[in-house]
Amino acid sequence: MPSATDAPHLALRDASRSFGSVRAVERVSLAFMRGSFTALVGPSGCGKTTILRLLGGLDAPDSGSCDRGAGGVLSTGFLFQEPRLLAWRTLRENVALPLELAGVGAADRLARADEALRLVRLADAGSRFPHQLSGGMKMRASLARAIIARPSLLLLDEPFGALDEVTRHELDIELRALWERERFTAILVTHSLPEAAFLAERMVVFSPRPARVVADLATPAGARDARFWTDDALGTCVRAGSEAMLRAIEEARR
Amino acid sequence: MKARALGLLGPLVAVAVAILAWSAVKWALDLKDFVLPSPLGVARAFIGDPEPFLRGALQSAGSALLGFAIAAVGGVLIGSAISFSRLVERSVYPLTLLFQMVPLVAIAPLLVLWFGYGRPAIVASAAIVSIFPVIASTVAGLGARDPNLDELFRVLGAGRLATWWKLALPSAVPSIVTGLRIAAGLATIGTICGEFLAGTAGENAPLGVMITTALRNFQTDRVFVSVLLAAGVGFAVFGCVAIASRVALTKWMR
Repeated sequence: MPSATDAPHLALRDASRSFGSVRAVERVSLAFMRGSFTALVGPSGCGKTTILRLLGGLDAPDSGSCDRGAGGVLSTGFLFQEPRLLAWRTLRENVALPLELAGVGAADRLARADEALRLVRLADAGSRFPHQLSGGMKMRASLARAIIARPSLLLLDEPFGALDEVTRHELDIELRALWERERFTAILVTHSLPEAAFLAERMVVFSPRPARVVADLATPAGARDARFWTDDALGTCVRAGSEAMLRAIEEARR
Repeated sequence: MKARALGLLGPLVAVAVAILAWSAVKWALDLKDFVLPSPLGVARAFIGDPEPFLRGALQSAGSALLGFAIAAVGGVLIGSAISFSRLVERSVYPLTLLFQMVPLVAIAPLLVLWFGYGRPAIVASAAIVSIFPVIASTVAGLGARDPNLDELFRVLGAGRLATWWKLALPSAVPSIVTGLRIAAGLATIGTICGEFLAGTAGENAPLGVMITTALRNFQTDRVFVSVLLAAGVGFAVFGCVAIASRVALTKWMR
């Protein structure tokens, strides 16, 4: 079990990344503590997703480095913008896919898929197909698949952005509860400051492209329940984040 | 219920009209029986001794199904091999067009040379004629998969073979099924053509041989029976494939 919360186990050092002549990320340095929950916020198209891909090892920086775990390879779960479920498989078989590809036996992996589905409150839906589910349920199944192999790092790329507001808040509450129980390191990309402040302990705000860090804020402590949405502390934090972002946008215009 | 009865009535009326027109043409032009037998004469030729016709139809249906099965499996494998790399696709794919372009009648004598007279050459003929649509639909289906799912499999560390078996091939199923339906019709054509050249007469003469034998003896009524039965075999093979594909496709329906 991850216990040492004092050592960073994932870090970008002075990392830059360009695509052709477009500079997506410029000299970003960020360290993430084990078991922490960080939100990366910024205007859309600013390079947040590129940073997430660098952190997940899907892409490499042109200059600088990405340190993924001391020596070892970090086990990583991904939650994408879309559920990305296989239409021809039941939810149970979809959720079990990471274990299946890792060579875990059928009985074992399906039992663990049921367990993961229970964690995301889809215990009864294991034998249904993706097209029989609502968008929120599909996203939940996708979350179950992302955590089934018990990753030490969970990367979330605007996972609930396409859902309606009520479903989104509901899933935010559940994701936060899941993190509190499992304590994986979570890094969330979002363009919603309230969502970032609600879910994460730390909120990193980026400038418009190329992404630079313009604010690195601690979010208010306290339980994340429905009341938190109307808390003054949340409002203060969101205001600080949006001021930093707006300043960066104005600078970029000049 | 009423709509269904009407739906059945339409084709029946059409068949009746066709039979009437057939009789009318024969009567109006005063055609001899060996040029155009009457519908009643054709029916009499069949009912008088149906057994050889039915045995022949069974023979032909068996060859068509066997040839179709070889084309289905072979086509999916060849299509998959072609899709494995861009280079192979560009260099080998045009070659497979040969299956489509070379007239069967031109290579049928070669099939006799290689396989001898009888079933193997007939099955080979059916397979060669029907394999191209399977190859083409496999290549198209494999190429059209969701790149997001490709990324998912990459993230989960899936190898090329696992990605092919668990993602690419299932994604291609709807496209492959379309190719199989076309192949089912072609397999019957290939079978009858193959029987013309490689079929053997006797106790178990297939429909293609019965057609040529009857023609030589000016038994045009028997030719008509065989041709109608050949059409029936085509319908039956197509029907089997259509039903099987509908069952297989239930998981892919959205």
